[in-house]
Amino acid sequence: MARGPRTYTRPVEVAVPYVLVVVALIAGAIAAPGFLSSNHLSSMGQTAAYVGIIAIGQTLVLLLGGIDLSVPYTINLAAVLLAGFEADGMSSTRNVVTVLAIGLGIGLVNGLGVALLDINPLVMTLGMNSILQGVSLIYTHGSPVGQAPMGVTTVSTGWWNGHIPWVDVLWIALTVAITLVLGFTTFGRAIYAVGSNRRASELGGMPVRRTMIVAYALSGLAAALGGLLLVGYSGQAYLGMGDEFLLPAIAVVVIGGTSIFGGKGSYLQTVAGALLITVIESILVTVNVDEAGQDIMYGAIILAMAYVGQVAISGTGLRAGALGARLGPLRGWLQPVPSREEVAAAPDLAERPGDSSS
Amino acid sequence: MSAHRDSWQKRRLPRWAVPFAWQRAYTAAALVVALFMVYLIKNGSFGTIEALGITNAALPLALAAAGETFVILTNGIDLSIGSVITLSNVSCAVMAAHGHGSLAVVAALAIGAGAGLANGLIVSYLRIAPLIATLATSSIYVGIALIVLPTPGGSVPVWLSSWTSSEIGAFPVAAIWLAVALVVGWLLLRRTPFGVNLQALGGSESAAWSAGINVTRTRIGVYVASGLCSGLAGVVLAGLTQSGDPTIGAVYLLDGIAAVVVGGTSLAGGVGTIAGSILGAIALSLVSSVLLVSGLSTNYQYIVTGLIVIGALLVHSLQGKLGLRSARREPVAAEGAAG
Repeated sequence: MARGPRTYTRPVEVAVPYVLVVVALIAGAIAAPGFLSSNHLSSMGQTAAYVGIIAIGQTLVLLLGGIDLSVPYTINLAAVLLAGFEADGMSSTRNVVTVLAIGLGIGLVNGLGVALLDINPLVMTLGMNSILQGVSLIYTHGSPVGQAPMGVTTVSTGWWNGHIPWVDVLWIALTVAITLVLGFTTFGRAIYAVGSNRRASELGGMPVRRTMIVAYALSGLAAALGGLLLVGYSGQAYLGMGDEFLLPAIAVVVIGGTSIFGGKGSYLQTVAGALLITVIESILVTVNVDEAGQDIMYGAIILAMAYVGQVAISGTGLRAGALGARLGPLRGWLQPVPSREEVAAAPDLAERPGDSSS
Repeated sequence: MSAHRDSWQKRRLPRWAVPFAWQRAYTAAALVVALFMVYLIKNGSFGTIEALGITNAALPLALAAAGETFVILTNGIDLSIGSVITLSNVSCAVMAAHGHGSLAVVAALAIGAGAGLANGLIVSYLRIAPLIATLATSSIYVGIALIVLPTPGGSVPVWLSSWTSSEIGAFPVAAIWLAVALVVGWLLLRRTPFGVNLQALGGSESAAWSAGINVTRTRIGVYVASGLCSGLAGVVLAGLTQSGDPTIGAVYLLDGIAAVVVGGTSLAGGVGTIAGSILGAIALSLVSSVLLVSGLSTNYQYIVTGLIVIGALLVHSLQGKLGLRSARREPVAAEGAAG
């Protein structure tokens, strides 16, 4: 098997979101002078890193065909716990490790529920989110105390060589690690296999349940890490600080082109998704679009990228309606005709009936 | 029918337990009764004020959950219910503040249905997965709501608040609306072609298509129904709070889905009832009241809710095993035959 990584993703699918990032950067440069200044670039890089790191877990879980809705309060609990432990005056290293371990444990419980008890991931993580919200409230009695430890603040807001934010260095390291894990390890391949077809993976002797448990555990860990970074960013913890990351964590994965049905995508695409959404939001802020306009643009971008990704390029929407047919030439250019094996593996690619009946 | 009964007898399920294996909504009903008993015991009395508090909290959630049930029954999901509630709520309050009372209500409902229609069209014609499509439109609707009303404000006509939050005799109006929603939901799901079609669609899309059901039209209709229900919830909230608030809907998204799950609707589609979701919503609204009268901090509310949601799903899967695979699909067939 010395064939190099199998990411199950065509290069064009990874390239498209990055091309769009470049286009967005150029658009930003036209809209505002100084958009490409190193200060502004690194501040955008910083913003993208938080959501990008949080989305690591969501990428793994979505690749499995699952979903993790417990991200907001895993973030929040990690944040209030870290600040609270600091206020109790314990060693910072120990606190960070403890909080990350708690995040891992939360993910582990999610994974056990989903994999062993066969609880629908949406419900399991939704319930978990509610439980964690309660735990956060009870721990803080409604008003979190404490501050971020020095080290975490440095990683979160500090600069390496005065130009590159430490958090981006961390993000790049994690990106390399996750990409290697997904592409080269049995665990990574198992994620794609389980996401593509769980039953076939079981029959093929793959450790399906173990893969799922580990993926959810890593999702909890990533969210907890995000919580630490956010508390480092804002200096202290507050309740509800994770809420605004629920939808973006899913959105950046989808904008990158990873399928929510599992088995298709990569973390590199999520990175592009995080960069793209950050650059576009930054442009909107630069040209004085208010929060309402940003929300609307945000939704429109998700819709557009989902349409481009699902229908025009990846071809899962081959049976699409008029608009898809019009993009036919483009699709043929970008996508090889499905081979006989591919059709055999997914019969609905070839013969699923359309909806234009009656 | 007889085949099912035979297999039960083989498993020696006690007679009283049979309906519980059939109807997942009974779990939600049992939960409501249990929570209510605890409430009665702890509180000692139950008067109009208590009833008002519980039903007023439950009504908007029940409406949102009922709408979500339609979508989940077709194996989809609508993540925009919270935003549609917000949009309808602020539209109603702003128009009413400009002196168009009843027009505001009609317009808010139309806006809800229109938002649902947009969801349905996107899901059906652009072929974007419902989770993503409604996630995106959710953001768009919140944006529009913020344009309509950036900060809480507006007002509603007096009759609207008396229609939602007053009582007739000792009976809260909201309880009557809950009963109406229950009956209308049941009729729509079990006694109309639309209801039967949408359940068929949730059971198996290709089978529904083969049976000549207009899958596209049914799916669009489902999202319109969800939007309309959320619109109604927004109007009810406007009546209850007597104003509009551009952040009011956010909590109803996850709570609405939780109520549907507690009510026994399967996220895989095809199995579920509106009544279950409404009972689930009442149960979830009861949790905080029960904690309050028990002298526990309402901070525990979230933990209890989370445990109830996960626990309910486990009970439902147990029910599914007891009721056997064939029984899972049964409610459609049996109701169809009875009708």
